[in-house]
Amino acid sequence: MKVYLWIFLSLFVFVGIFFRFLRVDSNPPGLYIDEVSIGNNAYKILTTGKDEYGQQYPLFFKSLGDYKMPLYIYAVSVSMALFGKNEFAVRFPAIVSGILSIIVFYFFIKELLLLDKDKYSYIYRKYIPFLASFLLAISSWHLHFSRGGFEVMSAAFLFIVGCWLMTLFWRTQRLLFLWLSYTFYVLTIYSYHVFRIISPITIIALSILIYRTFSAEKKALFISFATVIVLSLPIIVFSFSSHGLERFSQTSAFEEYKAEPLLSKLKIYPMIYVKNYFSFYSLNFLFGGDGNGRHQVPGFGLLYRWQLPFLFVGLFYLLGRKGSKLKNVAIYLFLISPVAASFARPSPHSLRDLLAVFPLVIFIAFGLIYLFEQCRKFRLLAFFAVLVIAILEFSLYVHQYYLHYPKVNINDWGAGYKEIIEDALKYKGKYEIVLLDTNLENLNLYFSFHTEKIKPYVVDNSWKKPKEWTGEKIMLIRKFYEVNYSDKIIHNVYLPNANKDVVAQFWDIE
Amino acid sequence: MKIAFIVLIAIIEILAMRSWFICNKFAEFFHFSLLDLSLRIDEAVNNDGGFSLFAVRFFHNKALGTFFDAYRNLLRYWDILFFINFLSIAGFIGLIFVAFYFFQKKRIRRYALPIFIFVLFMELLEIFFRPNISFLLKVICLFIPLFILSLLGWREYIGEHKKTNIWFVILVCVISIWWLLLFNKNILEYCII
Repeated sequence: MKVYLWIFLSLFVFVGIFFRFLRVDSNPPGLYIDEVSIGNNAYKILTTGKDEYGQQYPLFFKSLGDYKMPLYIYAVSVSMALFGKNEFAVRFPAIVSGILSIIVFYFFIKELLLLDKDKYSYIYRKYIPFLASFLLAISSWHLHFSRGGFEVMSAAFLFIVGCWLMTLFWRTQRLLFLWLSYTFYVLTIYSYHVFRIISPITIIALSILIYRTFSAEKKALFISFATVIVLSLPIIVFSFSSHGLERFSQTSAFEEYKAEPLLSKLKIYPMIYVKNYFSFYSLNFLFGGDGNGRHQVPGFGLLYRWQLPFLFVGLFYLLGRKGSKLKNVAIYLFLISPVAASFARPSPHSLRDLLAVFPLVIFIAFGLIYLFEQCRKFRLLAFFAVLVIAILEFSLYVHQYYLHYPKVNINDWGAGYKEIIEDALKYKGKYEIVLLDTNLENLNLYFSFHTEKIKPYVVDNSWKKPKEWTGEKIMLIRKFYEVNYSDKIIHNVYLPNANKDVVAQFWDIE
Repeated sequence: MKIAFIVLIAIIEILAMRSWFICNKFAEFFHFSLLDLSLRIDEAVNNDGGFSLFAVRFFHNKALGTFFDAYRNLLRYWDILFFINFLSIAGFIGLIFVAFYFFQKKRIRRYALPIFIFVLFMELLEIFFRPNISFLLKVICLFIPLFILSLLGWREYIGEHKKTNIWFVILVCVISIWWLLLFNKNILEYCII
């Protein structure tokens, strides 16, 4: 590859690195409860080899009423060994997955275009890989989830690596690539729940294709497939156990109709699934987000507004390319990404559908190149117009994300819990016992993560002081109930937002 | 056979549109609101304490805000679930076909582009001005062009794919009718009675 092309790729990766690392320990503003749970488990594994429940190197982590997949937690353990027990260490594996995805995605698209050498003109083969990886680097969807401790990021990365290795096998027919590809698909199953459906479907579909296409490799295919089954056995057994089904029952889209008779269920369930599935292709979802403050920046969606026309142009341009493997792969990823997530609520859900970002940036890249190719007379003008609009919207996004988001969306990310803990540590010397109001949900887990100096007790309104605590100085950390004046209030904890809302109060109780 | 399928799809789309007769107006998120915009800009400016006035006004101003809000309102009219509830699943799939053939055939571009521009104009009119005319008339004015586009798409598809189309069309019709029977109240997410 020419030197200047390497420079461009390095630049895109640098852009990806910069925006993913910038202030990642403080934005998102605090850890949300799943990150805390991952962090606590990872730290326990690192220091004792056991999880929170005393299980030695478990394959599935019990957490907050369901079970988490293990891969991300073990990755965080490694990260904590390097960086210590902090927010950065919890988020580091997701950041690295996000950055490496940009690089792997470039090579994946390049391989696909090599397989389709006669289907696309030189201009597409030269610029599409760069454009697609650059669009991924600046994608608000991909960027946002690269900056939190989201297991889906590592799963999506592993899936794209699996896809890339498969394209290498397809071109070179080297069996090592086939085996590695299947291994990475299996790893995704141990990374995030939705891939427990997506990856097996992908493996089966690929196996059928390989069986039909490469008649000489049937034995190797059989061995690879058998290896997949063996590696997946623990997750298959777990998935059909009561623990494995817990996650499904918690998030099932059909929960509301559980009590209906069988005939009604047969009537209703498929339509609910169809409704949920279509909702993932809603323009309101793609350009407005799913409404969850943890998943998006207010005022922005998963894609940038300027990308809309190119998305449609690229999609329909690709649909018209007969026999193109790149088209088939992109359409497959586009259609498969919400298959598992449609079983769950709420739908649509940008976290569970993250895999869709890859085909979408492919469509946008094709749309851009196609339109620039068509407007020959005004190509330079069109290029600068698009560039100016894209830079404007990206700068708006950066402003919104790095300045407003930490203040506006603090309630989605631990709502000042870290501030409570930091303030509590200042009073540690004066009070032997610290109590937590049960209405400050899961605050005790945040204490376990952020400090070992205070081991609080969680109490509710019915709590009474035990006799053996007579004479002890006790501090109660209580949710703010609009009580502004009391001689028992020793401290207010404020949210670091524009309104300086009171999130909790420290009470001296005797 | 081709005509029979198109007539069937047309009937399904008309039935889908018919369920909108109970409504009086489109939901608020289809319309632009200057008050909402002003309040949001005030809040955003409040959060930008300590920055230069130029920077604050560059990022938070009514011109940009109006464009973004109108964009969001317009996307509501082109939302997949809105189309499904307005035209039925069959109608929506017809629109997908016409979009596909728009890029493949000049003849389709010649018919579809003016209709598309007309629909866009109608929607922008509703977003900004909320014309004081009967809601029924608004729905029919929006429905007819989309109905024509959808049937155009189906006509092209059925004409080109003779072998597989019969089962696909039947499947789409069954799912469309199934949806209409089960989710006919879904339109209340998009309109006010």
